[in-house]
Amino acid sequence: MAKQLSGQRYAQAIFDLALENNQVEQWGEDLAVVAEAFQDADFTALMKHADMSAVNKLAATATVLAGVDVMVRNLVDLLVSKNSVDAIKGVHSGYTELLDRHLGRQRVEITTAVPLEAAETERINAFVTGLVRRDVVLTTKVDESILGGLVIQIGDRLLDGSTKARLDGLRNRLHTEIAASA
Amino acid sequence: MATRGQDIVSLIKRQIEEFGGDLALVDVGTVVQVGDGVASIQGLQGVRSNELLDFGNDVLGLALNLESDIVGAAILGDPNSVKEGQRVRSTGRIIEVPVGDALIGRVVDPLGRPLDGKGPVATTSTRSVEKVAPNVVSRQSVDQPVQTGIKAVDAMIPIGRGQRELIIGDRSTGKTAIALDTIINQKGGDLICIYVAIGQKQGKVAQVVGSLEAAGAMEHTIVVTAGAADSAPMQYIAPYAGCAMAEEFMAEGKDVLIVYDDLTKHAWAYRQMSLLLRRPAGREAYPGDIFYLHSRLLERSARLDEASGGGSITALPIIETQAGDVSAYIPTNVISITDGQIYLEPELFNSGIRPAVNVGLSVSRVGGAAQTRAIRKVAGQLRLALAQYRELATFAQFGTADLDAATRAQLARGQLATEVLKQGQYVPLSLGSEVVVLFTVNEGLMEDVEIEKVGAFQDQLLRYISGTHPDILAAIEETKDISDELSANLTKAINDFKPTFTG
Repeated sequence: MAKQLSGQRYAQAIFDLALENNQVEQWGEDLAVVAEAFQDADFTALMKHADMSAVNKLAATATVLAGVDVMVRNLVDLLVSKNSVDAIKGVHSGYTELLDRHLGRQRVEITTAVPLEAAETERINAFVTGLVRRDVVLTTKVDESILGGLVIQIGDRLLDGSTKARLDGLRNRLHTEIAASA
Repeated sequence: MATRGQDIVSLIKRQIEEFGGDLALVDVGTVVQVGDGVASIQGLQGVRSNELLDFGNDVLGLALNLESDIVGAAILGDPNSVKEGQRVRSTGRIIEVPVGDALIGRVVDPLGRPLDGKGPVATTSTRSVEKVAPNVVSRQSVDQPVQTGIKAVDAMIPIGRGQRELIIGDRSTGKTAIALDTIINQKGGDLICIYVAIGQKQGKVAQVVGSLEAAGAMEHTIVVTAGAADSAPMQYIAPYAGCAMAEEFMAEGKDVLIVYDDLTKHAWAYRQMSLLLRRPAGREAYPGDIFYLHSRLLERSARLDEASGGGSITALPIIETQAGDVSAYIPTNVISITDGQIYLEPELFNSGIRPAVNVGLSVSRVGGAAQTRAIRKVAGQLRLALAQYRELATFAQFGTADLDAATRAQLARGQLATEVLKQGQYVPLSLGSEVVVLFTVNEGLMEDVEIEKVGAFQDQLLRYISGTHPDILAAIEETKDISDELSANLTKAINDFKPTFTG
């Protein structure tokens, strides 16, 4: 819980710096690169390793994150030297959230059982834009376990129109109503 | 059977027609940390306190700590099935339980799911588990008795409908036995009973259900159980769930008796949850709101006035003390909340005085007004006689030869009273039988019976009276009073019986 929270704080700090430097979108992309690098379990383990000296760790980040803005790399180095690389994931998600709010964007995730065609995605995009009245960043995901229909997640809100949810609802209602009529 | 099949077919037809009609936005969050039955969840912006959360796979959660960006939730069900990163949905339902007549005779968990293998519980309505107690305007004073069928309790510590009477004592001193006898004694009466088992061994709960069934008492009883193996949140909500079921009956104008067995374990479960949710710990590591935990539960016991339906909830909370320490944190809290306590002592229990009620420390603060006139008339001197006897008994250990006649008489009366109040388990007495026994003592008609034979004398007397003078018993049950004429008849009947007593 504490790691998650400190991630938020670091995200706020780096975002403020980005605003001052007028680099919000560029740094956002850089942070995505950083987060991806730290997805690698071996790399993260190396960065956490007690036997590796801080100098060597910083040299390693400099090599791996060569293309990243120096401020963003400073943040990474700070976290590495404080031995809290676990917070990086939280920094990235926190930063993305702040960036979205700053640009008036809304992230929306669509889950379907089969891949969507372009025209369908377009129609859904128009529908969701009408719903949230903001610029929509649409990501799509395919999950066969929902059987059919569509699940739309807008931030913390979920619109579940999947066949699986309807079947579950049907089963629950039948259970209760049959029990009640018995 | 054919019609039932038809019903279900038409039900399914309607369901198919309406299939997927409802679509709503729900709040979702992600589990960021989970352990020890408690989960921290990010997201869930719109969630309300005490709202049920859906972890999927039939696992529910209870939102308890609402912080700026983290929600602390207790997991109701198997905590091992919840994983970090898992998606959680809010259900929009504040925690509730099914209520209604269909629950009577059933054994259910705190969420109202059946545990007795008798199929689904056919309830139609639900009720919120947490509810504010009836306010002062809709209440009236306690004036009707709960007949426990236990001589010692009915005579000296009378309980009224709407009262909260604590049963307190060390382990295995007969606390549950008093509650069970009271439930059994309501057989054929108008009182619905709810037995809430919190943190009990499943074997003991099975035993309780077994003895209730054997006594035919399950027909008016609901058993709500969250066993020792259930998660702490389940144990935490169990008494509130039982109380919600009781409140439904009270709202219908019925009278309910609810037993919380026991609130010590309930406090332990809440302490565990609070510590895991990182709430600050206070005395004995209990959280700051431990008093409110029990006060808000017991405050829901009430006797409503006629305008509100006139129903009542009588609560018998049970507290287990450690080595007789009634001044520990939880016992003092609950003693101060309740309207009196029945204090059971291991010394009495082990010396064969059962129920092991300590008369000096047991009180009933409101029940006196509810005691039936018949019992009040015959039990008046009993308490005093026993209290004086306990004091003198210490001296009497060194021999009674040197004592004066008055003291010896007092000792004899006390000894007799102690002996008369002994009673076996699962044999609650009817009001009539209780009055006959207490009348015999009160009128001094038992003073010539040897102490060792008092039990046998009682049994034979009751058998004689119910055999030859059933009208006397009926009259007592009917009028709940002893008129002068009845008194004379009863004296005569007892005197008729005495020569036939075989000993």
